[in-house]
Amino acid sequence: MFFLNQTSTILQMGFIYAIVGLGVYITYKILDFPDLSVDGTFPLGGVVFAVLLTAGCPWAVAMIAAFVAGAAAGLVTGLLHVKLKINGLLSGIITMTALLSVNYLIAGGPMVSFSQESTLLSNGFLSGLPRTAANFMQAFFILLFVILCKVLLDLFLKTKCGFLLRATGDNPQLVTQTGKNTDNYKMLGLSLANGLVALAGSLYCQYGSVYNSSMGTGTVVIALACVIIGCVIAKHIRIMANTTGVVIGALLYYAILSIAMLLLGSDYTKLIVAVLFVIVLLFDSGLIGRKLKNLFRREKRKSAEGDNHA
Amino acid sequence: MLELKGIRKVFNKGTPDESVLFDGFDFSVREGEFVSIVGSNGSGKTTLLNLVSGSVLPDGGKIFLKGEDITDQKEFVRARRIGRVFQDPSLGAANGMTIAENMAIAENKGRAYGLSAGLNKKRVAAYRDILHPLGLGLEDRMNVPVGALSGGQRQVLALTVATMTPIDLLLLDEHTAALDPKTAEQTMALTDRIVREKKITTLMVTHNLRFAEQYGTRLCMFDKGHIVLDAAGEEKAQKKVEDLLALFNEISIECGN
Ligand SMILES: Nc1ncnc2c1ncn2[C@@H]1O[C@H](COP(=O)(O)OP(=O)(O)O)[C@@H](O)[C@H]1O
Ligand SMILES: [Mg+2]
Repeated sequence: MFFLNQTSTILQMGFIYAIVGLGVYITYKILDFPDLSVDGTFPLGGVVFAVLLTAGCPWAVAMIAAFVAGAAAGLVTGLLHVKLKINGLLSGIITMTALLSVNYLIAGGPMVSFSQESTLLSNGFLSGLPRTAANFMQAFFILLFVILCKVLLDLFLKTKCGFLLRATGDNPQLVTQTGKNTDNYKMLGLSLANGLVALAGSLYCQYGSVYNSSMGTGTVVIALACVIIGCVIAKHIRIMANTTGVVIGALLYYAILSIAMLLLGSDYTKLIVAVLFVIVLLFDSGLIGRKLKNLFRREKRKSAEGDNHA
Repeated sequence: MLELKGIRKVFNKGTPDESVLFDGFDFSVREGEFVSIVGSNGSGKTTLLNLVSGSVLPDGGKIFLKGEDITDQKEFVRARRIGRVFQDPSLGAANGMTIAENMAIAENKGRAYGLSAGLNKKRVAAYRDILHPLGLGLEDRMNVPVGALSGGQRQVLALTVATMTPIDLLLLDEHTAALDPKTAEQTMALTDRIVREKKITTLMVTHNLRFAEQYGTRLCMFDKGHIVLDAAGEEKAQKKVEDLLALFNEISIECGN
């Protein structure tokens, strides 16, 4: 029972962060833009959703609104960067900081609870199911969103517009040579990315039927870890698309995080998140890989020498 | 067809390092000319191309392309009529994207980049036909990321991609400098062929005096923001590499290096 509950939590959270990961994949991997607005747009999606829902809006409409709000915030980061020529990292930090107040003002406080309202993850159908079955059903619903986002993103990246978005991160000069303004593609990418992040934020709130202003803290770090793990996996499995890798990366990350939290206790959560991130970065830079390889080689040599002696 | 009038360009304005590169600089190129530009390091060759492309703005003067004043036009707007190949092979294409994808982007230049398919599979055969005569075997590697190609292959692809749609002007900035001598030779021959076939007005900066002598219809030598030699037609044909080298040494000695 305990194991099943843990598994369903990992699936639910893993899928939610997979959507955040898909957003951050756009900025970090495609645009090569270190976007920190994510820590603000994730709770922005949550608060917009929660407030609209309690005002009587259907959950589907509230989720669309969350996406739009996130996209608008991403556009602000983009405008700060391309129009005011503010460094990318700082542009994100500015948006994130401003959103702390914006989110508080929208919520009218640090929390909005909506346990009475019907949402995608809490409705008559789900409450009719046994607890464990309901948990897995929730995970399945979130998975549907993950698949929707992933497929749409994949399709978009294969369009002409998507090609130029990719080229903007790859070689901006090329985009300029085609007669297009790279500024527009940066803003488009940041909007899309933060729209997805806010959408995930709205799902995160539905998971607990509550919006909590602290839900955004550390989102960037978790998402980056998922993206980096995902891209490493996708690199080694040739037929796998990066976006699929990101989804798997998010699940893997959440599984590892859950196990670490079980062992150490939830007080250590953010510390674990930070340490895990360092480990992921070291893996990505190949430092750990090389060390492991050397170790492996030395062992092999040793055993070979042993064979010679025999 | 291209005209620079009274161009002034100052670097590090208002600092102790302020240096005036161009002052009252005039330069014009006629339709169909293939101008080779040589000159010592820092003589302003790259800056000239940057001024024309719009990646550097002048502090004074006017730039006209086909009679239109483009002085205040943004770089990406001018690029619709201008093709450009850089010294650095990694600037010529999106390196994480395939040859076919890069050619699809280039082919669409001047049109909208909307939500239709980025790569039309039916066009790939046509892309192959463009690459085949180049003799580098690129046509068999359509789905290889450009980053996996050699420097020479990338420069040839960059040249192809830059001239895929009709342009008024081609700017080449030491585009063979990062290549080994043999590859540089091939790339240069190919450049000449493309420029002649498509009859593109071209400005080519080169470090190679022999290329400057052998190719192009006009030859300019730059020194400290001034043109010290400008020969076209018959006059250019009579210039030998030795003459260029002698003049080159003369200006280099003046510089004290
Ligand atoms: N961005 C810049 N900032 C400061 N000085 C520059 C800049 N670009 C060029 N210069 C100066 O202008 C002069 C000409 O440079 P450049 O046009 O690159 O020469 P070339 O291409 O002929 O070697 C050099 O003295 C260089 O120091
Ligand atoms: Mg130069």
